Amino acid sequence: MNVEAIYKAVAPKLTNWLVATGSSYHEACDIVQNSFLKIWKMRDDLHDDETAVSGLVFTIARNLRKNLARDNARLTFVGEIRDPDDSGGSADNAAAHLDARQASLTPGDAEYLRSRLVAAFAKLPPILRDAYTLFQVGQMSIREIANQTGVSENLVKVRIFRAKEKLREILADLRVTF
Amino acid sequence: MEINLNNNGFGNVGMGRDKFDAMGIGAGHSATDASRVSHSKSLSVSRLSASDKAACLESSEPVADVPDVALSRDDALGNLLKAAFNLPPPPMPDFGNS
Repeated sequence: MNVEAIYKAVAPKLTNWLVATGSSYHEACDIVQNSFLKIWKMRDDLHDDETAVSGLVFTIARNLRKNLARDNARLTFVGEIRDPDDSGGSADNAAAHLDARQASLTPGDAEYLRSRLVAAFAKLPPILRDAYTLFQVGQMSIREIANQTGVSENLVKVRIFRAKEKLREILADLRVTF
Repeated sequence: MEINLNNNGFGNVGMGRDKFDAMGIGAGHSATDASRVSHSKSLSVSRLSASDKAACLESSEPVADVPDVALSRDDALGNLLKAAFNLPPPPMPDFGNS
């Protein structure tokens, strides 16, 4: 199995998914690397199927984060939410910079948006948050999410739809037409 | 299907047995059979935990009517996320030395 190729394909999605669901960037990087080290050790027992390995990596990463949270005895989901006034970004700036297709944000605006989105995800029920972040940030297919979460594909679709509805309400002040 | 899960006592879930009855009759069962089934379902639901009731409520709602366009990754919200979560991954571990 070509672990290097799978790393290149999956690591960016996994890193961003971990950040979107509450890890700091540094914690996400540690988890991604440790997850792939476990995959490397298991490589002889795994089939050369990127989709299946991708799902396994996400599961390992999720478990590693739980273990970290338990070890540190702290709530990890809140993440590193900074005061918008300190980040150099704002809702007005971020929305103004956001092009419908090709968003180009200043680092401050991107950081502000991340903090807003992480906080918004934290307000979603866990089942909706999981479905939507795996779909949009983890770039998983509906079928992969259904396999990960143990529900039907139709229910995954409904959860994604409901998550988007709730996010629209929570992020209304960004004035982005969802 | 609209279900009201305000449980106000044993065997009375407030979800309207008439709805279950109508569903059963609509599916071709006799009124007696439909009533018997709906009564047992009411009793079953009344004994569920809060989390199971929530799952039951979710799974009882229509799930096949989400249009594909509503699931687009390229809508404004999706683009917002792409812009915000575009962080580089960490360097690849040195697998050879692990």
